[in-house]
Amino acid sequence: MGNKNFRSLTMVLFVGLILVGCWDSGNIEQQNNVSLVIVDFNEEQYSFYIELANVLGGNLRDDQGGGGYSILHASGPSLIDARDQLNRRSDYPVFLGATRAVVFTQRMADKGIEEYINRIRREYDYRKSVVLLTSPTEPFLLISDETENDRSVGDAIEHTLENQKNEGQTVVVTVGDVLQIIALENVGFLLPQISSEEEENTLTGYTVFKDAKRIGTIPAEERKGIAYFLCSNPAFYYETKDENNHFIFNVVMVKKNIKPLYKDNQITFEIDMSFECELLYMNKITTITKEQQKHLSEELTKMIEDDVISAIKDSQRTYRTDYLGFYKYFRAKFLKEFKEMNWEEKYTQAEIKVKVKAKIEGGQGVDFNEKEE
Amino acid sequence: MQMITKYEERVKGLISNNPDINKRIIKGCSGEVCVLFIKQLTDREKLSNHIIQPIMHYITRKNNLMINPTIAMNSIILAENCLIEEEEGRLLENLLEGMTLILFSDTNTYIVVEIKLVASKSIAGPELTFTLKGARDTFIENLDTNLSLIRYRIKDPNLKICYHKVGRRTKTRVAIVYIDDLVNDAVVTEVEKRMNQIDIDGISASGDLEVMLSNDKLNFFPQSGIIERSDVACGALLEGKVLIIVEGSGIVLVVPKVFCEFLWSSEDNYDNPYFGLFSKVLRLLSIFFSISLSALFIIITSFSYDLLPAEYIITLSVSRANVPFNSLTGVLLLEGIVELLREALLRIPKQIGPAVGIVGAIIIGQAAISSGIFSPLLLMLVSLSFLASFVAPDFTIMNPLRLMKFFLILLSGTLGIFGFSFGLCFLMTMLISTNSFGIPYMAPFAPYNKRDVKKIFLYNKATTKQRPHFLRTNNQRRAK
Repeated sequence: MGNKNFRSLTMVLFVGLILVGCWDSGNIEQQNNVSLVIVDFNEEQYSFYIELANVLGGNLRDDQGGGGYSILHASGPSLIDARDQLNRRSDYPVFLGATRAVVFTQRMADKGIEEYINRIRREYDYRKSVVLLTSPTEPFLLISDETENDRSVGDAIEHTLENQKNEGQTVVVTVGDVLQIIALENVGFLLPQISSEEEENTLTGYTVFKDAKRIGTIPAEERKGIAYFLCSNPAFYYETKDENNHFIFNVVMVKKNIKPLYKDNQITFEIDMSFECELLYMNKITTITKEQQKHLSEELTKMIEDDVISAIKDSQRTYRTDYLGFYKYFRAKFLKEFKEMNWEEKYTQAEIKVKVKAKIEGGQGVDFNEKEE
Repeated sequence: MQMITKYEERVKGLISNNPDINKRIIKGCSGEVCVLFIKQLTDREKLSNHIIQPIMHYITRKNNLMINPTIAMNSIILAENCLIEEEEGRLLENLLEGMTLILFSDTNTYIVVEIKLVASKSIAGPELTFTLKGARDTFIENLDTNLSLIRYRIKDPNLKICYHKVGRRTKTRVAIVYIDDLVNDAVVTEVEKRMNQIDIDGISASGDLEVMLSNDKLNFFPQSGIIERSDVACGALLEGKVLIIVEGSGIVLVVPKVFCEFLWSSEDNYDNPYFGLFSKVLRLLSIFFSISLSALFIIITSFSYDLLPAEYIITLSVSRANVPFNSLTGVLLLEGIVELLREALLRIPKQIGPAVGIVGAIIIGQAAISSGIFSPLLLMLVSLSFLASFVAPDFTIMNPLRLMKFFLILLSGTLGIFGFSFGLCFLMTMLISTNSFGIPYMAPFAPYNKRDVKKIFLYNKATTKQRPHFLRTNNQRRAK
């Protein structure tokens, strides 16, 4: 490597230094790492409640430093003003890259979340995989319990959602999902709702959004039908009774086929769902006859079908918006027609045929093939 | 008598400058014989039994017979390696090379006898490259012994040994060894050419020669490998490589040697090919870790926090909460301490080495964490990087990479991920631009050869029947 090469290297480095301007070096510990953002709108004021990790506030004698979490509140007549106040109250730069969840209060959801979602899109450090929720609970109440225990509320909310998602019980909606739906127009969406119940943050159902504004709430008891459409591996417990016994089943959806049809300006969906129902236990251990088995199967089919139809009915009649994702199936097959039509209007008029098949399986020592004595 | 006197005068002059030259005059009726030798370089038992004693016996028993170089060499001297020399100018040169000279009173010619005795250690176990299954005999400082170790293993008539003398003053013998019908002729020509271009007063070890044989004296990367064990040297010869053995050095040079070969151990050849593959991938990863971990730490803690998953950002922030330095300063300080320990451990006597290790690893490490000067994660990464730097079987490749590590740290500390990417590109460009005696340094990756890549990763003599193509050997086939 001669002098010429050395000069070239120096030139490249020098030009790189000037042009790239990467002098934005900072220290990871000298920033306010946000783990949860609660956005509220009350009395014509936007408010941010952010949960910060106290990285530098801990006992210095402790090797690891750190001192739990604290809350920073800021408000203003607009989101920009609220953020401006937040920046003025923050001792270090606010870093949103560690945010685990964003919660909109019910008031904010009523006002509309589109502006904030678009803000997130512009914020370079916000992750598009951050989960979104709503809450009817007052922000301070939502935060207070966990903070007292030095636990991150954002962390706890994300883990609760992840756990429920893995169990096939709830839908997790991220910023990226909502951005995609908002871009489509005429399509609604759901956000999980979290509330403080008996001083514990609990998933209490879904908030229905249309045009990025809240139009209603679906309680947790009615979540099964929604999960069959929106979860990847939905699974729920079902309970059936007869005169003498009481049966608990674990019902897992194993197949879902939604077939869209479009004929004479009429949309039809043919839904075919198959479930495996594992008998977990019964009150009294008895032999189940084939007749009983058939009866249980019919009963379960009816219960599941009711849940599915109820979810569709809510979507088509009560809220009149497609938050169950039917548009994905239709658009995939009839893209041109989809672009030309008012989906919201057409969806509410669509005919949806549901076919549910529930197959019972024995479990934990229950043998359905046992011959009658 | 005239001749002897003439020689004696010359030798007298030499002895005054070189008092270690000894002479022994044997007088007979028909003339005198003068034996000149340097006693430190001569096997005196052989001198006595094979030269002096037979000459005296001849002279005293056959008083009237003439003694001359031809008669002496053919009928009297018992040493197996001797020749008649006529050139007066080589008298001193032969003596300084350790030869014993026999001068005659009535002729200009003299006999050069090789009965050298060079103090050397016995063949010992390896100190640089340990092995479980390989042979443990290593090269020593004696060139002939080293050649004998090779000849012992390779009985091929095509094994060729060419001798050179390097150094105007040291006249160090250098042997170039290769298998004639295997080796890439262009490599041999290149080695010969570079050897002939060397004009220096002296070399003392193979390390001197290694630098001089390089085609780019300022290039970071070594263009020849080093071999300590004779089985590895023979393996290299069978691969079509050229060995350069320097008199007085127990380390043999092997050329050509490409980058990935510095990371391959001879032990890999003796193992199951899958385990060999595992080891090779592990070493490649280790090389990457050793040069990049500290730089990546700086990038993550000072520039691109969001590269980490959200849950780790807070954990990492907390671990650095009470650290007084920024990442770049912390990394440079800790890497500096580690380099200091490495240098200290290399130089200090073996007996106190472990003590320094304890001081370095436990006391400094523990104290640094307790006092909050360094974050535990940084200490872990630097230690990992330090360990990873020892995995290369031929450690000479690690020295340039150590320098590159600091280069990457400085670039990352000033330019963030751009600097790191730039540094890696620069490193790759340097590696790709280098060649080892005409063979591309990054072969078989650049230029890419799929079959060679497979051969070198899944190398096994039983299954890989052909030699790597990039060596361009005369005979590609290793087995049928």
